[in-house]
Amino acid sequence: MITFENVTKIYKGNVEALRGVSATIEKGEFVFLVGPSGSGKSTMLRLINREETADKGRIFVAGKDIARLSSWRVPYLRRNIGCIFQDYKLLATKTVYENVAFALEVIGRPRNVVKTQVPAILELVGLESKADNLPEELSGGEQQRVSIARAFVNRPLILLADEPTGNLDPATSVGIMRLLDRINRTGTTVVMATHDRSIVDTMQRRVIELEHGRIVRDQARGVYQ
Amino acid sequence: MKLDYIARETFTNLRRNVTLTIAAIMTVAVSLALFGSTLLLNQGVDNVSARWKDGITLIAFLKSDITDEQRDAIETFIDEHPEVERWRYVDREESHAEAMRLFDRNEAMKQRLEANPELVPDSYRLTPTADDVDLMASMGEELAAMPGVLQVTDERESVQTVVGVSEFAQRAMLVVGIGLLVAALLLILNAIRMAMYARRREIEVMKLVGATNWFIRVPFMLEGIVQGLIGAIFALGAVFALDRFMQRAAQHEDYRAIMEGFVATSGELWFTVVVVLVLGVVIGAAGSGWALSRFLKV
Repeated sequence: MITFENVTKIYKGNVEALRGVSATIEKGEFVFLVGPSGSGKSTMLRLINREETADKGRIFVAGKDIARLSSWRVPYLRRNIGCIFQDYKLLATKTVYENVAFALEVIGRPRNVVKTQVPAILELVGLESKADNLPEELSGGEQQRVSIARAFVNRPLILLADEPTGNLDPATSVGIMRLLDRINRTGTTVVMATHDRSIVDTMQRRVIELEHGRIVRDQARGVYQ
Repeated sequence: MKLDYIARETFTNLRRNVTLTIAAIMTVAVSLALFGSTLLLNQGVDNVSARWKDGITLIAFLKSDITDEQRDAIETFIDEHPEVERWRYVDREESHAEAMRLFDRNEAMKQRLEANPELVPDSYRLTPTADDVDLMASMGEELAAMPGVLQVTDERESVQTVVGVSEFAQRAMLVVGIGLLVAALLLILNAIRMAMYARRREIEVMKLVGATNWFIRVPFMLEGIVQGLIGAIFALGAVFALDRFMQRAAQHEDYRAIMEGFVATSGELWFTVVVVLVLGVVIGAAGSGWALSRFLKV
């Protein structure tokens, strides 16, 4: 599903974020990216989404070399990739329902699809009763569920999560991880960058550890360290 | 769904930035008003100087019952005068066509001309070698006294005044108009930039979930185009006002002699209208397109 071949990424100012990274992530896998801040976890996620492009090496997503994708095709790549973040990135002026519906509307989904898909996904994340609330009226955990609903409503092949539990207490984090696990069991590939030791240790999934832009460990059913 | 989304977004953007939007619209309006007026005046000058083109300053209109001998005598007389650089005979057909053009929007006059093509006489049109007003004036008097000549008009000074003043005014208006056009472009650029800043979170999410670039861009493009178009519509008010003023002046007793040809035909007026509208749309599209290409990274 995702293949990195010798990927190097250098940001402006000669910061080497990734140095010759190679890895393959199969369809339906659940992968943790761990490592200290600045080790290159977020860069890997941003490369998969083509928010950044690699300076050397090749990246394949769903069988396509994404460097060779013309810019007008990038949005169609992103429709196959859902993203969630530490800060949720919800629109403050829209209700829970509208936030999720927005993701379908802006890719031109017809109204009847929006009307059936949004309530279904809100039920999946357990927020059907909060559909008309604004994000600020929700707890952090609930806001992250809205963001997961928005990322997953279009049934992407891949879900990228960048420190999704970074702002949440341990109990709430467990709830979020259960939800991501459920999504993973539907066949969606999940790649999650995290600092949360206890989550990695309890989940017992594949762990890729990065340090200074290199993969120093790649372990099936691994632990944090 | 898509259409009402786009309309809603465009309208919200315009309302959110109301002060900058008004500033942009007003600048477009003033600059295009100057531009459109210049264009209209320019066509007026073209029309008036078509009559006096090639520096013709003396016109001898002929009686309709003029004989060939009288004609020969006039031509010999003109040829004998070295201060005439060249001359031209304008027959009835050409005079009629010219008059129809000058009175394009004066229906009463047009009907009279059509009913009676003889109304506009043949004429000799003379161009002097030097700028000797006196010499031409005395020659004009002599010509007027010759048999077969109906009337001699010497419009050198008045024509040059009108053409000179209007050329100066046109140049000044064009310079100011172009300056303001650039200002309008920059204001639209900034209005769109502000709108994009206000919506940066939405834009971020749209990109994330895979909205196409065009889908993200269209509301902003339309916002700029609407600003340009509204400005152009205001500018047209000024253009029509100037046109009415020119029409009135052309019919006013005191100025008729000078202003008669100084009108734009209806075709020329509509040409100006189209140019102003198109320019408004182009400025709006260029301003927002520039903002999008600079500040909206894929």
